[in-house]
Amino acid sequence: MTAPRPGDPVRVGPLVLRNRIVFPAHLTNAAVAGRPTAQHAAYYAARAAGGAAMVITEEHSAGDDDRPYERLIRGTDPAVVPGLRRITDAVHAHGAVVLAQVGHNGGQASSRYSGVAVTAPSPRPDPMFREVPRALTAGDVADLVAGFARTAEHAVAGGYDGLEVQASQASVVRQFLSPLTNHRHDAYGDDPALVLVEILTAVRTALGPDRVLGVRLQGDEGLPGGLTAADAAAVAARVGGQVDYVNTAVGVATATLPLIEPPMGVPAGYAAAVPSAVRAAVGVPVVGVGRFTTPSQVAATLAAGTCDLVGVVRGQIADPGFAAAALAGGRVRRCLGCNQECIAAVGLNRPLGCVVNPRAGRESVPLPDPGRRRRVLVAGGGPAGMAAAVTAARRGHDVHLVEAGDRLGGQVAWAAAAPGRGELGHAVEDLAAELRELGVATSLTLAVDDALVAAENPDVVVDATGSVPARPSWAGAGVLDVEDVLRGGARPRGRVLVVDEAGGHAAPSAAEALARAGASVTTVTAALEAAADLGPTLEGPRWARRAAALGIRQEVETVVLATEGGTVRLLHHLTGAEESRTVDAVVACGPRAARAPVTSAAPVVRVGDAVAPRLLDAAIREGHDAAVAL
Amino acid sequence: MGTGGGSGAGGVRSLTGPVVLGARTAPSRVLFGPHVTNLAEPGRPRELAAAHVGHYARRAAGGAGIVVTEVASVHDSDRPYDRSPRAADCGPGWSAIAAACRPHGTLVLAGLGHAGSQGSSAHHRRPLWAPSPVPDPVSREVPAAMDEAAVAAVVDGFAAAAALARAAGADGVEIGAGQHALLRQFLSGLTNHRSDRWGADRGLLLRDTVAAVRAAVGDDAVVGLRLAVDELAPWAGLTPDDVAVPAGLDYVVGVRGSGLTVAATRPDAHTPPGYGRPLAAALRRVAPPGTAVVLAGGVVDVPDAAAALDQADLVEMTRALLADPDLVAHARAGRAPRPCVLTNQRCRVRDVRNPRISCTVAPTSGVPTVPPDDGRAVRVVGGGPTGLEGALTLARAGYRVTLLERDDDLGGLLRAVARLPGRGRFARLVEWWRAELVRHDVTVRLGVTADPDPDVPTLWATGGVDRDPPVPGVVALPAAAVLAGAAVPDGPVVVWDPIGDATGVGVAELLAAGRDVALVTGDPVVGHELGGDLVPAQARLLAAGVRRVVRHDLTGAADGALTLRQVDTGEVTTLPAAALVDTSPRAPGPVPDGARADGGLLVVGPRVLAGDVVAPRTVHEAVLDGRRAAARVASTSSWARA
Repeated sequence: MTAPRPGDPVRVGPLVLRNRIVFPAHLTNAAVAGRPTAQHAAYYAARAAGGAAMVITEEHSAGDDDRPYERLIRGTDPAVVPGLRRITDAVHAHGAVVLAQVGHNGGQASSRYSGVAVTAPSPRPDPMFREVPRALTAGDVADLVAGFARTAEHAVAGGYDGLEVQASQASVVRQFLSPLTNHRHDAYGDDPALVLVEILTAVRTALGPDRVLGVRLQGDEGLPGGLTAADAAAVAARVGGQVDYVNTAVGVATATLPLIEPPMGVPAGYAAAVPSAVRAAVGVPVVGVGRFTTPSQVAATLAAGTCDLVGVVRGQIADPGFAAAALAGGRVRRCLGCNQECIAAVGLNRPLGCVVNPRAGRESVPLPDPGRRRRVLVAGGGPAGMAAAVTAARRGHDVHLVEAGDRLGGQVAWAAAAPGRGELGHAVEDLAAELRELGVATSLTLAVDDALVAAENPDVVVDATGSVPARPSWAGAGVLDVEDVLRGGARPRGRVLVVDEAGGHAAPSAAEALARAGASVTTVTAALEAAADLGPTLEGPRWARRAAALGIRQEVETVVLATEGGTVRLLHHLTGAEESRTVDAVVACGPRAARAPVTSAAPVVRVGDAVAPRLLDAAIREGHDAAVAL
Repeated sequence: MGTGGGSGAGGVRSLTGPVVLGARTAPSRVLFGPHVTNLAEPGRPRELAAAHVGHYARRAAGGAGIVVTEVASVHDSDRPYDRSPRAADCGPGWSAIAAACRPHGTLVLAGLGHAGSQGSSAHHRRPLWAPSPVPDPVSREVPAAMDEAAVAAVVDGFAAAAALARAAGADGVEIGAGQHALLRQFLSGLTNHRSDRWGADRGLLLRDTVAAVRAAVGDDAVVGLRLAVDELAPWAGLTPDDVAVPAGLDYVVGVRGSGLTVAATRPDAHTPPGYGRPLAAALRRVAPPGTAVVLAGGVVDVPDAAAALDQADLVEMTRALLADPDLVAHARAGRAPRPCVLTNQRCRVRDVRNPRISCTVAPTSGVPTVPPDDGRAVRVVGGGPTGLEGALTLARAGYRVTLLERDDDLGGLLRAVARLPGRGRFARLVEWWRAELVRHDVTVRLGVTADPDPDVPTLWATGGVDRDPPVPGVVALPAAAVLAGAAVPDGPVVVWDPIGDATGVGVAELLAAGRDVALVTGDPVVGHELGGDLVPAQARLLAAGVRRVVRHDLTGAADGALTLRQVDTGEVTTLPAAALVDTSPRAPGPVPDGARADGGLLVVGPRVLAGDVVAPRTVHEAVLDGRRAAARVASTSSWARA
């Protein structure tokens, strides 16, 4: 059998998919009051229009009281059906197959929204929700199975082509399958897969033979004594005759989430062992997932025979046209693996977005007509200016992008030079490629001033000139800024104190660069936790391991009062204890300062750090939005 | 404004009697202050919903003198949390609240504000506004420094919102210059580094705003001000010594705290009530004649509130009115209200998950009513919070209730919980229940073990059971047993805390008197789930000498030491331990054969299991289950007679 290519059609049960690229289920927080919205329809339709063969919509909950997060689709509520119909019509209009994922979070949930005790195979608290569940009675299990069937009936009424039963990262079914969470002594303890067999039987009855039934199976839970790829293969062999395809997963959402949605630096195909093992155990198509951010990675994993279909979530959030590009051999706007506006935002109960795709999460908000062609002078070739120039050019405006330095990319260009941060640079590399494709006039080593504005006479100036380091009030002579280290190549040796006052990646990046160059590095932060912003983006564990390997010390609850020569005065703000410490260098990683307005000689729109120094998502979004509003 | 306050009966009469504010009269001196509720409907997140109307009207019906509605943003540069009201969308809501409160005479004031740099860009995706580009210490987001046009827009926004509130029928407005406020950021040297007129005179924006609001609402409306009096940062922040109260106000509420000390405004019971007194005293010294002073600061008991009238004209009792909306009515009748326990667990809801406001000891939603009965007999087994609340609910409905408790006292686990630092008020709650049961003629039998009775409707709330120790090889004690007085062996103690709530921190603090204590958690900080008490808890632990060990799992024990594994790196270390104290929640009690689930409870024949016996959770769920189970028992009882 020859290995499939991304563009090869494939039969999945009663249907034929047009290619091998799937948009798997993931949380969007687009639901309102338990119901899907117009945003869901537009969001999925954009990926279908972009070529995906099969869209699997986010979890529809099969339990009336299953409410782990606020913006959950309540699959058992008949009121969801009109919203489901809107989704399926929108996806079908672009020729893609659309399935609904159905799940129940069991003990991986809280009673916060439902008001009643959560339920699970055994009364053991989930590590994240920390709430003791009520053990499911035999009657509860029957209700649980019936809830899956009821959700399937609603999906059928809503026009879906089929259903995927989640038995993976956040699922009561996985809790039955895993020895870590199933301590029962009844039939469901003796046969951990029994509940899955019953659910698949009930759902198949609800779907009938003309629709697709799939299951998403858990591979490695990433927990001592937990499920492995071999377990996924064994379960797949057991239920393979009941389903039309098997999807795969690694990690537990409430315990080992970084395994599910790994950050930049984790290689594509990191989870390939699971689909490989499952594919050897079943005769139905198998979906593999695992940080595939470019079309070539998709082709490579298919060629390697690890799976029959490839699930690409973040790659298609970043570029809805990912699948079409994969088939045509084109370029995509790449997912960075920054996890900032997708995973972190959703985890914080905000709608899903994307740093590099400012349309993600607001596909249902139509763009206004571009209006008449404008002459636009964009001042600043960082991400805000580049995004403004790309969007303005796409909308037909006459754009001149002017950068004072000798390269595009702004702070991203040097932030990406830090160890482990290289993929951040894709954001500006891809924008630069789009600028070239669009033929946007770009001038380097040219500063925008009143004279240039007078000479060019634009309709509007987009001021995206960014920010500069701000010297902290405590800093004496000789204190370096993170920019001196990452951009300027400063590599102080000996004992180096990195002062983290801004959060984010600046201080970890500086600390790692200096430690790799041989310095003995200590970081200090006023916060209770070092590098705390790396938690929501799931980068924390990897950073902790790198920091430990490099011997970087991370001190918390501490502020710098002053530096003088080689002496730093520190205050532990919770105890009031002061300390003087001798160091060889101090690196400040603090909030930056916006540059002064570049001109008042024409109508000006200010964007990005020039307004207030913030993160990359604000720069790209504001650049894009300014171009849309021209 | 002498009020004749004081701690005696005269003080209570004064507290519960009318007070004149400008052109209006409030029916009592008790103020229900502005607070985040998350009661908005999901599809209309910035409007005041029917649930808001019910929330405020209930307190008005119970005798509150003034209700200040949830702070509404006066400008679109501000959306500090997902469901923060937007003033321009609040007209209908203010009208409905005013109409619902009017029959009770309660004054309804619209809370107005702008959170400035303490807001969030997460929802409106705009730059934050602030006097100077000084990041908030929590979010660390750099705000945009406001230009003249932005400053003018904020003043205009306050005036327009105030005019809208008046037109909607509100009695007036309260201007926010307290802990989460742009106006405070302009007042404070911590956050205002401007060199223009707004920096040279840091009080200018507040005075301009008060004047614009007064002009917008006229002289017959109430204009109040919530003012930060002490930022607890004397090196640059506001202090009671330099507070100034603008002219044109009917009242001023003094609060404390800033972005550096977010927990200081409504701290939990670790901070004894009374911290509002110096704030009120400072305001009394400088407030213009005719401006009433409101004391705010953890006052939750009627005698304390009456005594506070020596120093203030009114008293804010927001949390006390969450625990018992009828507090003023009870005080008038000489009855004790259900006590607020000052734990902030369910009323502090500025949380990204958008939890709806409730009360730890008085659940407000999902509670069925129990229809009145003419005295049929029911049994309650178990005198913990579930049984106590269930018995009270049934007795109030007219049932003849017998409560059986196997221990020699009421309270269940709450007696142990009340020994934790900052949790002492749970003992007061148990005493309140005890008195209420007496008042409602409940028969209480202590030291009695009950068997299931197939003929008597029974609320079965016998609690949870101990779990197996987390690791073998060490003396392991459940935290509840330690709190109940179990002997802890001499030597170093490790408190293992997989939960991160007040128990682990509190047990560690208690045990640290006279021995080495380490508090170990897999989380990046100890007390991970504490919310407002998170930072103060760290300081207390350090002061007590507790060693905090974070990001470690407990993997084993041998030879007087525990084995720990660093969660990220896998590095294994040991920690000496003569004993391990485990804060894991307890396990459910045994599930009887044939039990079936019913609305989160378990039912077997006429027996309804509820509370920790079903699944050990917090006091809130225990109380909620008690009420639910009472309703379920009542329906069992009706069925039995049908």
